[in-house]
Amino acid sequence: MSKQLGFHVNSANCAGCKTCQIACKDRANLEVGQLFRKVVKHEDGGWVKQGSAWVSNVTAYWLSVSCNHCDNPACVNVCPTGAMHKRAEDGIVMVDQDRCVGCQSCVWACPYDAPQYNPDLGKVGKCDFCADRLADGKRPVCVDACPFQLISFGEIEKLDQEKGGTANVKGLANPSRTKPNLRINPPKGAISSPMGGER
Amino acid sequence: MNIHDLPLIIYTLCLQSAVGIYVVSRMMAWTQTEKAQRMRFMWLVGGLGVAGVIASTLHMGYPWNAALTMTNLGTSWLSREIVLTVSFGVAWLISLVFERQEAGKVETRNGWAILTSLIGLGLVFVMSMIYRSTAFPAWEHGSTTVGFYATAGLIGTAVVFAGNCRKKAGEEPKGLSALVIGGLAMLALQMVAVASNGVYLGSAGPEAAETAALLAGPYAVFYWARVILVVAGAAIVMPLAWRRWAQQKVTSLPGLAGALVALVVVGELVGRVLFYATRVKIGL
Repeated sequence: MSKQLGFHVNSANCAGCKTCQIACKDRANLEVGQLFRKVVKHEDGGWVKQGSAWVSNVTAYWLSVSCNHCDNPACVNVCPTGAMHKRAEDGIVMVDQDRCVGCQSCVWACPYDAPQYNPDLGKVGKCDFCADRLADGKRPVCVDACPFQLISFGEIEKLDQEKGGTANVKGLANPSRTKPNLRINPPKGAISSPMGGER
Repeated sequence: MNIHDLPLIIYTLCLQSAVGIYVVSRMMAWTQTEKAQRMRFMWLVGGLGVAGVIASTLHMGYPWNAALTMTNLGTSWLSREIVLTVSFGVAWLISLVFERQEAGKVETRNGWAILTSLIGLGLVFVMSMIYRSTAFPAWEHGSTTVGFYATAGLIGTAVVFAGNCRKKAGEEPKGLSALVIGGLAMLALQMVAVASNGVYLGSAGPEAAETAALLAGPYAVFYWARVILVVAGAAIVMPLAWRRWAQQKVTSLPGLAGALVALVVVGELVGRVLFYATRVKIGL
């Protein structure tokens, strides 16, 4: 593979406005119940004992997640027709609608809820990294839409060098499952559990 | 339960039953030479297989692409399942023709039955691996495979036992004691699957814990009903029927045979509905 594209999301500053989610849904013209990018709230924490006192360390933060175009995509592995495939030139995971049988194996396999079943078509759709926009030299709509410019995209190695981040945050699946090309600037409480113990 | 799971419930139960009945009936027919004896249960196996396959197509959103589903054998357990389902169907059909035409020696037909049985048992394994390759932690455990084999074995022994009990007047039921032992072994295997799954759910993360909470809470009645039904069928009714036969009290055998099949099949159906209804996915 010549390169691997990925997303970086600065969740530490995300206000949960969902503009990225709406822009994506609008571009893909999705029906109610289908989202290629979704913004979800993760809540954690509680009362913990410190010395003789009980203190609250409740935390909540927003995670904006789409397909992570994983290095080991579970959706591609389980697809019986080969409709779900990973492009060699940029690592984007795409669905060939002409081959999809609508078995939803990919929906069951993806720990990020990226493949979305469209009951009207009887087929699955998902984030394609706005491949048509990339081909025209534009940015993915979620990147363009974020009013705080918290979503970045590019070659994952460059994102790692320039922005860092991790996919190993509470609220997301363990990244060892599929090796997602997602990096998050983690909000407070997203790495170590307020309830005690590392993630 | 999601209504869209119904085709998969029917498919998995029908195909596992077909495999179980085929394997057990061929074992019982091993030393038989008479055509009528060797043909027993063959049509039932085929009927269950056809019913399961028809149900499975209802799960596909766009079945017109079904011909492409065998093209990812390298990594897709579903592709492998479809290949093995077709293979089992073809092998069963050849077995049926062999027995109907009484083609070749009994040993040759037994040899083909072994091959068909191995394909069927392979199908059950592959079927379980589809579920173990998902993002539902409750399914990602070896107990899924053990449970699927136990379902095939329980329904297989129960149906063949019942069929042998309902033979025509004058025919002496054969092999009932072996079937009772087989049924108890399959029941023990199913209980091992249920117990090991319960232990696993307690240590496999928050989603598995949610499944455990569902099984202990809103679905507890169904959970225990399933256990009681299969135990009543395989550990009480089947030995009771065998005892009645040993005491030559054969008039009650048909009734007990019907009760046995009803208890085991309904128990396994409830278990399969629970399997789907209590899954909790890793996700957002």
